[in-house]
Amino acid sequence: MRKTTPGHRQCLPDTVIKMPSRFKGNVEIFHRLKEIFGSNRVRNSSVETLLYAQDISPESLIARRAGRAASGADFIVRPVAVEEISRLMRVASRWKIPILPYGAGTSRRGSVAPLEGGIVCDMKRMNRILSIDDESLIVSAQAGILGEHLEHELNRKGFTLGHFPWNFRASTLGGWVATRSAGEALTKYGGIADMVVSMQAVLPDGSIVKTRTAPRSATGPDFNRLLTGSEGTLAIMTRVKLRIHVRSRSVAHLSFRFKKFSDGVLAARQMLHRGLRPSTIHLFDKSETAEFFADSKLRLSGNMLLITFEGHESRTEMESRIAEAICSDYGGDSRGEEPSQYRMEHRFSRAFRTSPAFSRKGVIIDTIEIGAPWSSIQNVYESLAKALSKRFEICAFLSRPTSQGAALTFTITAKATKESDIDLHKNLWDKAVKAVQSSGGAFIPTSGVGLRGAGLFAEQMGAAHNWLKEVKVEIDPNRILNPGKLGL
Amino acid sequence: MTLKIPAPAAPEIVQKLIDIVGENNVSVSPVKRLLNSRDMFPVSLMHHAEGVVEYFADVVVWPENAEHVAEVVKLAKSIRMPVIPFGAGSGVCGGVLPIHGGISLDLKKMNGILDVSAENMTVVAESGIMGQTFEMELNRRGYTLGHFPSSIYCSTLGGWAAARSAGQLSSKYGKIEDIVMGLEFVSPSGDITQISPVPGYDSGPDWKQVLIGSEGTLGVITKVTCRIHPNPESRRFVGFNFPDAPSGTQAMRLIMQHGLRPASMRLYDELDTMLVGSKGAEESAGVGLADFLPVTQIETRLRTIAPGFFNKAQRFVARWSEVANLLEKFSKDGCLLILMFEGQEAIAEYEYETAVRLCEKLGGKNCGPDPALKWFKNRYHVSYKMSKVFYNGAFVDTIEVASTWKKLIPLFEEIRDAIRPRAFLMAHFSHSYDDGCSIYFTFLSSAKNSIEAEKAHRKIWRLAMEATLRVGGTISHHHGIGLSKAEYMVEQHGDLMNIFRAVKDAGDPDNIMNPGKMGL
Amino acid sequence: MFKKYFREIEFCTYCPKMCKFCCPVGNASGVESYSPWGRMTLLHMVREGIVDFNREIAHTMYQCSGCMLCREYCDHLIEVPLVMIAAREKAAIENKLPWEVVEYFKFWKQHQNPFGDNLSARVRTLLPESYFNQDAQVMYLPGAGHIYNNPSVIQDTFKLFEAMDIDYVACYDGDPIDCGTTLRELGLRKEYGANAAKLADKISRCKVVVSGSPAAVYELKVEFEQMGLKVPPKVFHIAEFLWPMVKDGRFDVRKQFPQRVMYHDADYLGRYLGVYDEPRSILGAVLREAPVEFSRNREKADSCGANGGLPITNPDLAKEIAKARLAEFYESDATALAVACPDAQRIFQSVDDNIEVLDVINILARCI
Repeated sequence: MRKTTPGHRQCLPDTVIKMPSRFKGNVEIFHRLKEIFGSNRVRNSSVETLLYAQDISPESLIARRAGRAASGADFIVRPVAVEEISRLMRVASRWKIPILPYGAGTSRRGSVAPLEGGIVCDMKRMNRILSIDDESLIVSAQAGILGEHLEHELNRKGFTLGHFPWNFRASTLGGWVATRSAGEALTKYGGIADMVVSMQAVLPDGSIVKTRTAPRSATGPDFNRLLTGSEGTLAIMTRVKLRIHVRSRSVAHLSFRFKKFSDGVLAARQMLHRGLRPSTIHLFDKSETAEFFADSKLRLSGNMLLITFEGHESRTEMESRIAEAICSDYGGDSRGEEPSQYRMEHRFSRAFRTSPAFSRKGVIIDTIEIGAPWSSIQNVYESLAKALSKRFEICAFLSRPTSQGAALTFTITAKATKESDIDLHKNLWDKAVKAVQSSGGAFIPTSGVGLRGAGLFAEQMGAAHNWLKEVKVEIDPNRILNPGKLGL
Repeated sequence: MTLKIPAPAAPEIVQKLIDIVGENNVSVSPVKRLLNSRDMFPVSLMHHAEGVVEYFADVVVWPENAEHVAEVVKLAKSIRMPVIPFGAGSGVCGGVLPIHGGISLDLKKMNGILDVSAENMTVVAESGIMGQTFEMELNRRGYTLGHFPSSIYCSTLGGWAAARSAGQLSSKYGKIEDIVMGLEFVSPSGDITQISPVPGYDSGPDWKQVLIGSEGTLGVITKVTCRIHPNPESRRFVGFNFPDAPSGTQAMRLIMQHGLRPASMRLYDELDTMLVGSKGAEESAGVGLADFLPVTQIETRLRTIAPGFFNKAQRFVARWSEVANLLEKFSKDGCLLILMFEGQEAIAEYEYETAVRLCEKLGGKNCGPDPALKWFKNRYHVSYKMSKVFYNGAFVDTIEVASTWKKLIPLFEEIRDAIRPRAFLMAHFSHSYDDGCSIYFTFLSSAKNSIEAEKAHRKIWRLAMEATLRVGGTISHHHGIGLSKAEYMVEQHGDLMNIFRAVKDAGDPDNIMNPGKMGL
Repeated sequence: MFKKYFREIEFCTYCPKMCKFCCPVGNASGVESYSPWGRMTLLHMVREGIVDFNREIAHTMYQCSGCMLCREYCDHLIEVPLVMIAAREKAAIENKLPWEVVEYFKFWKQHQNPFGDNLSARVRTLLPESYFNQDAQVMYLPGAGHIYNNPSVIQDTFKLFEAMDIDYVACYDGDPIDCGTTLRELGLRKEYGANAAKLADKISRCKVVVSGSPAAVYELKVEFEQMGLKVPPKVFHIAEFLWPMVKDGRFDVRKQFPQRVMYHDADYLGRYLGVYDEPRSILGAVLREAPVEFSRNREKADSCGANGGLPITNPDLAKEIAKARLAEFYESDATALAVACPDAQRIFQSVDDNIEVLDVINILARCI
């Protein structure tokens, strides 16, 4: 195995990706694609391919604000059947043309950016729910279904998937699985990787594979878990079976105010260690509280710990009582149900902060997600605050706790004054990486490592990253699947 | 009869190994080599009962740290000598049999507990630590790992991770992949890597889950970071009687889907329940199989006097298994479901009471705590019974599969109907999930000699595996693949085996790590 | 347009597609450029000079059914359809109209309505002459779609008036009779304005205008007002007008409607005019059981795809949207679909002529 240089870190690539495409105007490829997909479901218009190359990463927004845009891929195809994707792989292999699987395109790190041109494979026409096994509590759905639609349909039948990532309103099931996304209710329902029972996927050689539908196997590596999080670099997922739950009849809301963030952290940890399984726990720091509740009628300040329990009423009551006792032990003042209810009603609203920020000249806003064990959480929080607070405005919250640790999400804003907004953004990440790595945290971007997160990902994975690279070379010798992402 | 022992590793190689790990940690003694060349694979036990040992390691090496492991692996790679990581050899699939000879890399000297974190509820330990030792030390400090395979007295942490094990309390504490948060791993090229250095938080493909369950074919696990729990404050036990397997498994399903997490939940089929009795016999439930055989101490002495008589008795049971299985028709005891809850007091109490209400609502007859207590007290005893069986010329083996709830009873019935004509068969259901459950079959049979026994054994396995693949389920829930199921890997995984092979080729191009296993 | 909708275009471009899941056009087609984010980002790129406003981009601006679901889920309350219409007006000015729009306009110019036929004459065949008193203070403005496709709605409306002893409502039969919604939606602002002025002139002396077409109500109440045209002081949808009378028991609800009915909130009646309760209340008075609700209803109701000019610029897609909306109807035990809008009625019936799609007025009329 080739060795990696220690401390390897890929620089943030240029904001705007401009690569001459080898395939522009290749009539034969276009013809082959039309044979597979029909002329309705193949496009090569420069406008459409240009649009698909723009994503919601801060780099893309900065560029477009300045009148620059990344180059588009060459073709867009919209499969409706797995066999079409199998044939697509063979066409792509023949011409060594990259395929870029595309769900809803809301990766913040450029997971779907075309680096070398290629064929965008927009999965959204494969968007049906295939079956619901209400005895085994398993739903089978095509990968292109929008997550919100899947959840809505499940809700109608009395079920829930329980997966609510920050971009819930604009992401597909395939995107979730491909990026190993984590939702806010991870504490109770797990991340997407825990929900996947089995999947159907297409490998770069065109073979259609399926993992076994069984609750668990001891039959070697868990292929579900290898493909989950592979961001379209090893296979294109077409169908996923997921564990679902009966939708809870009762949701209990608790809200507590803590003078110190660290006390809230301890309370959250203690709840987990005592065996409670809340569906969500959020600990907002002072800035996040001020920002989040700014438009509400509630007068809130300080560090707010917001907890929900779902399940049968007798259970949620019991767990609530234990939680209340714990929070009070750590100095929390109860603020009733409303703050937690408000948070739940507005739980996706953080994403609306991006637009007002970017519409102001020179302003940037970005989100950094970090995972850390409990022993490092306070250290990570303080180190990052210390490293950034001089130049940047920071709002932070803790969420998705387990017995072992939790995730910290920082929303960071700043206005470029003397430097360019690009440099300001680079400065932010340089500082953040140093602070996080020296305080025991790991970067866990929930909407994909993609392109921009590849350097950190490779570093965190260590020597195993080289191994993965070599696996990629074996499975995808023609480098047709989303090349360059995950550092592969 | 003398055992033919092949030549050990060449002296130069032995010397090089001594240079790495020291003289105390290398052995070419036939005894050491023999003992490190076997596990609990029933086919090899059959052979051993007749004095046949097929495979021998060339040398046994005991590394004391990851650097030793790395150097040994690098050396092995340079001379293309197989390396077989060895924990305690309790696997039932032939996973550590050195079919191409090589180095048995015995990890038991790497058995330290390195860090216990109360803040993070994690423990870091070396992979060679013995299960029960590990658990007892954690208990002493106020924690539990929550992982109790029936081999806990004779299996190692590294073996658990490599074989993707599950413990008896897995419904509450999870399987090994839920428990393992991070690994230190030595790859075949000698790199020592931390997988998931910030335990529990990573992105991208879960490489940990490629290594877990790889059964030594991809490298050597040297350290494991595990999630731990506080020692349970309280435990509640109860047994319920259900008329049949469908109603019993329905109760299990509804208990899990209600959101309860019993530490243990096991349903015994009608025959098992009948032999043991809902009231709880002297020995544990599910172990009556071997007890049914007349092999007490006295009988063993008698055996030496009149071996013919007892052999006939064994064979009666084994050959007339169809008749024996008919005993089930006389079973009026239905199926026994035992439940155990543990944990924080209020939660355990709540779950216990809710489960009791649920079972009663579903028509279960409350048998009180005794059956469950008996199981708990004797839960490891089944392992002691195996010897008696093999000693008496019969063979016993287990098949454990899993499927979704929907397919569970059809799968159970198909396998049961396929095996019954050929062996005495008992089954229980355990390791439940929201979406499905595992079925554990124990079968006992015998034949004239080990060749016939092997044939019969293989036939039973083929029928069971084919049924599983046909109905829809997994061929192994927690025992693993090793040698015994290697031939079914392609049917289980289809073209995904190409990914496994790609991982293997990329990491171990010389195929030195546990070669010949897992269908690779 | 870029100045007027500067904020909107800015905000949508930088947004992580928060309305992705609710746009019917985006969902039915699966095409990124047909989503609100897609269309607005294209406009942003035009504004920044990254791309030219070419025919293809102009065509993309027409892939919006104007349903306002995007605004519904937007914390910034961005109304993407309005920006779309402005972009379409730009297309009209720059001669980049899709050929379907050009064809439509040719036809409209010829007939002064989207259907052909002299609708004013047609409406006169529907009711007794006495109803056509152009001096009346309270005027019923029939929707062009009703006149051409579902005249029973108009007839039933007057049947109801009769049953309630309301004799002071006249039926408009003047010229122009089409309020030109589709013209406005397609960006044909000049022609729309001319037609609007003429229509306003004809009905401005009325005190009250009632219509069974939510779009017509919207045009008068909002668009004509904004253009500074003289508009009658009170403009109602027929459900708003009738419900108080039904409530007061102005007529005998003799029969109870036997079928299970599912009610669909039309875009113009719901998200544009905010009328959700009156149609439900009317149904509640005559149905044996309360109407079945779609899981997404009221402000959150999914669109039927009939507006925004979409049936003209992309009829297949419009039908896909309507079909998607019908999925829940098929699953339910309802045997009739109730609407209060001629466009919704038309598109649902065109997608599946085996189902019974009725206007709320039809249902009420059967029960007196």
